[in-house]
Amino acid sequence: MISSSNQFKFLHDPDVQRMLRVQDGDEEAFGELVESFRERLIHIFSHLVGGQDAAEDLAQEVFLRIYRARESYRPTAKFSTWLFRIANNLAYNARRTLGRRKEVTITADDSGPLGPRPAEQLLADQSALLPSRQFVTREMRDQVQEAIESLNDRQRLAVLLHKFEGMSYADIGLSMDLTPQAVKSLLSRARENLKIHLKKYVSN
Amino acid sequence: MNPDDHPLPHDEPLEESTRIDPLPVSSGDGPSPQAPDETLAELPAGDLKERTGETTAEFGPGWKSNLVAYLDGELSEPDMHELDEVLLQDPAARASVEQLRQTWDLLDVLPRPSVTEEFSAQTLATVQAIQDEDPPAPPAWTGRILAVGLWIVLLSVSSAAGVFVADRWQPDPTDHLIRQLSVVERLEVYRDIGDVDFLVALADTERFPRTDSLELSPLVPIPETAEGRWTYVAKLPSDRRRRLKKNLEDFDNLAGPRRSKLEQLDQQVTEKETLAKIAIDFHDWTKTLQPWQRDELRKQRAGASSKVELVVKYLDEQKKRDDDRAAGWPLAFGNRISPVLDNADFTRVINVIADRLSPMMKQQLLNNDQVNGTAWAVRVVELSTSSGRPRSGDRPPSPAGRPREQWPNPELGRAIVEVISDGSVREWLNEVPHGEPARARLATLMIRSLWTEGRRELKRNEPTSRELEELFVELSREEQDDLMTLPTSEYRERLKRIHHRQTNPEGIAHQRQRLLRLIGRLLPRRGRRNGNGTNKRDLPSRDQRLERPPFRSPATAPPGDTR
Repeated sequence: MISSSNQFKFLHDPDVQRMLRVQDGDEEAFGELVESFRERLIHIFSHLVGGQDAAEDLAQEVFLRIYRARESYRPTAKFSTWLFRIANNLAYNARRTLGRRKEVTITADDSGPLGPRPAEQLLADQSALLPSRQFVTREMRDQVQEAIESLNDRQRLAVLLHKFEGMSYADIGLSMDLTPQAVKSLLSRARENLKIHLKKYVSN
Repeated sequence: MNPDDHPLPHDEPLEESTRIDPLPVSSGDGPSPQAPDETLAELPAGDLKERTGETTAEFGPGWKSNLVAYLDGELSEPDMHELDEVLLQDPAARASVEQLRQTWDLLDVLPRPSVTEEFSAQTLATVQAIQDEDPPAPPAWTGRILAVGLWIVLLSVSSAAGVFVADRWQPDPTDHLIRQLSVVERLEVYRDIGDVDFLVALADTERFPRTDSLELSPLVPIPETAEGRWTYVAKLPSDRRRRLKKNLEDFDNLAGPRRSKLEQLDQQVTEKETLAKIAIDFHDWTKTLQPWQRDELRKQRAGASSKVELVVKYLDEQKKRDDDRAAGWPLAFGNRISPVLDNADFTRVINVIADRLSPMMKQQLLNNDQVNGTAWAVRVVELSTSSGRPRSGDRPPSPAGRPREQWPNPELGRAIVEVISDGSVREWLNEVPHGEPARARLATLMIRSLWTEGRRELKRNEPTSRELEELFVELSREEQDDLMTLPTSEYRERLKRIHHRQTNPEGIAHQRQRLLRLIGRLLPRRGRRNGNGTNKRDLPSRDQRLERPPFRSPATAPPGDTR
């Protein structure tokens, strides 16, 4: 049962308004939603299932499900909460059926199996002296990536939603079917785990 | 299955998974019916004791997750105040909070996915296909042959006609690229800006280009003539050309008015170097935002001024976060509680403290005339905390000696408050909630200001790339080899440290340990446990709490303050 006050509460969310327009047949509004959330979804999925292609496929599936469900949509939560709830379910199914199939992603830093070629090495050495370059090394990035991967699926999703989506414990709880108290514990353990994995980068 | 996992709601049937139903949200404490395992996540109290000492034992097993919730701003006000108290008293707890915060910040280095425009196009095309879900019934066998034949004829005719028309009327796509080269080449920069109005409004704020991004890579100059542009494109490496092609497709797919706005924007940016700098810096800055913040910016359609307001808001939030990070100080003393003295107030306060040192201490300061800047300020405060006892050399007094007076004494406290011109800082010093001693606030203010001033000083003296290069060349071959084995970030940091050591041997870069010692000496010491097992904290009695704050007197109250 949904109280009417609960429905009205989320009508201020611009994405909820867009979704209501989609419900009314406004295709442009759906395009706006895709535009708004595509990068965010792919980011989350890339950490949950690994691999850009798999992430894009799942993100697309989320949008399709949203579109298919447009007629039964009811604004009882923030739109993003609903979207990430669907994403959570899809990621869970994907992992269950495919297993955690990790894909090797080639980053701009990779230069093939023989490592960087001399010219690239030279460029990298020179660029190390430029202050405008990012100071973060690939090593640190890899460690952080490993630390994130070391978390269990639920911890990882909670961390991603909180860190990169700025979602509150209550909203994460709605997306993951947990109470805020459980989210608090989940995030606490996740952050302790991360701290242990990344202790070499954290000053005492 | 991972023992931490429990079956999540299945997403079949579809309607169930995509519908939001009122979800049971527990507002209070206690185990969650959905995830009983997670509510047991807190560490045993023994572990907490070991990590944070006796103080934490008072706060029970939920204390650990409270630390994280504290950082996330998800604690209730009373819990927040309680934890503030703990952090004030307990260095181990402070360290724990700080480590958690640093760990959280490290996640910022995680790579962001690059999303192609094709993704949206494909998704929308698939959606379009969903609309036509009911396919027409297949024609009968004879009819199908007829239909295929007809299609072949139609396709052949239309292809031939298409080639003819394209050849005669369609502009060469490369010519199109050459014409639009400027806007297409800079499309990534322009996309977030949107139009000239926003860029001009951004310029009016004078917040861009930011002062910490002086070495901006300029926008790529695009030749004006067609020949120049041909040569420019011809010389591009293949990956750049691919990107250019993709940008052109993206640009062509935009709505007409949007394309016009971007063309106007390009024209202004090309003509005005100031706007170009702002554009490139704004583009760089957007990369530092969280995805949801970038999204909020993109969504802003209420006009340039609203979007600029949002930009300024995010900038302010970043600045505050950076300041706190630079201060390297836990949140308890950071965002929510302790302000920081500005440079002028800081100088005045240090001078007041120095003026009140004993003649012998002043002589010690004079003897160390090579110490300057924040290192000198640290030395002044160190001497001030030593209760006027003569010391041999410049070593600070040992805590094991005669019990020190609490710092500052009332007279010094009043003198310090008097020279602080910042009304908000004075206000904060005189609030004194929860019976916290006013001198504790002053001590916290001093530590945080010293720390921040130290970071500012380091930043001011940051060596340039050229200086680092020169320094590297001057190093011995062994030192160079050693440095070259390091990852880039460590390599730079190591070089910077060598630079600081060489240019200012007594500088603030080497005062970290002294500052840490000062924290222990300035802040009220933790109480010892008495026989009843309760803490005798260094807090005032109830009667003392009701008194006026010790540093506030009618004579020292700031002008206009009627409180």
